[in-house]
Amino acid sequence: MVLVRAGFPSPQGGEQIETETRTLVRTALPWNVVVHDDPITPMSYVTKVFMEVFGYGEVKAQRLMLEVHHRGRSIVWGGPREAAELHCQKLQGRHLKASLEPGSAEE
Amino acid sequence: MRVEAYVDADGDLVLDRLSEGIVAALGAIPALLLATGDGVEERLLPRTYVDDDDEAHWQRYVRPDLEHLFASRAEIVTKDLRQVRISPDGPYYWLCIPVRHRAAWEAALMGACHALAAKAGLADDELQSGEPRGSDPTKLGALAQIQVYQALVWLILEVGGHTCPDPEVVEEFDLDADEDAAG
Repeated sequence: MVLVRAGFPSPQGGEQIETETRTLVRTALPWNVVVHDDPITPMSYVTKVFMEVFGYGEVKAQRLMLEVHHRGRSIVWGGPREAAELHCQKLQGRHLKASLEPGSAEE
Repeated sequence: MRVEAYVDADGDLVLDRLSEGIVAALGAIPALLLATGDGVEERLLPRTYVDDDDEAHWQRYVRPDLEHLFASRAEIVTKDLRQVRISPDGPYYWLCIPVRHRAAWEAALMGACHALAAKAGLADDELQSGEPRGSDPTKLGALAQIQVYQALVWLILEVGGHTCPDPEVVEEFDLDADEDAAG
């Protein structure tokens, strides 16, 4: 939020007129790329895809893969919508069950 | 049924000791990637957005690219399968997957698994347990074929990282044994 205060002399030269402008700056919320568990895809394949699509190291990719496996889903990436769509397209192109959902400002 | 895999001097992946049944299963991949109906599209092109307008936009602009990608992979697999040869070691077949096609093969095998599961009407619990309800022969056949595809993905991933044709890197996979669990 930007607050601008400005003082101007009145046209009659008397007391000043004070104006206040408030500008609310709302940053775009991130979008989450979510991968869902499925009973077909081997764990090693999921890990490899995470490494190749996101450039994650093996440890992080395996942690996310296990989160998908045990919790049924995992947020594997968050950020600008356009990039999230591109990542989601790559995951679907590799036959992972991926979807997009709006994130929150805290993420 | 034991398949061998290794990386040759050019970095290409060789699958050896393939049975006639496995070669036939591989031959089914292109048609599965291009299949429609029976819920195949829902499996291969799952819903992306909860919001209907966002989803309509995705279907209009992104789905064609994905369909094109799957069709391209079907062509790659078809082309490579034309090079299947009878192995000099016996009544087996031998397939060379060029290194530049490896990722396409991995994804094509996974896509074929999903399409097959949809066509056979296999539910998640049946896929998880490997046992279809009612011992449906169609489902049993589909499950066996899916297990072959999964095993080949595992084999390609295991061997693919190696770059020299050292006998040490030869991996064998017994298709009768359990393989990597699903993620």
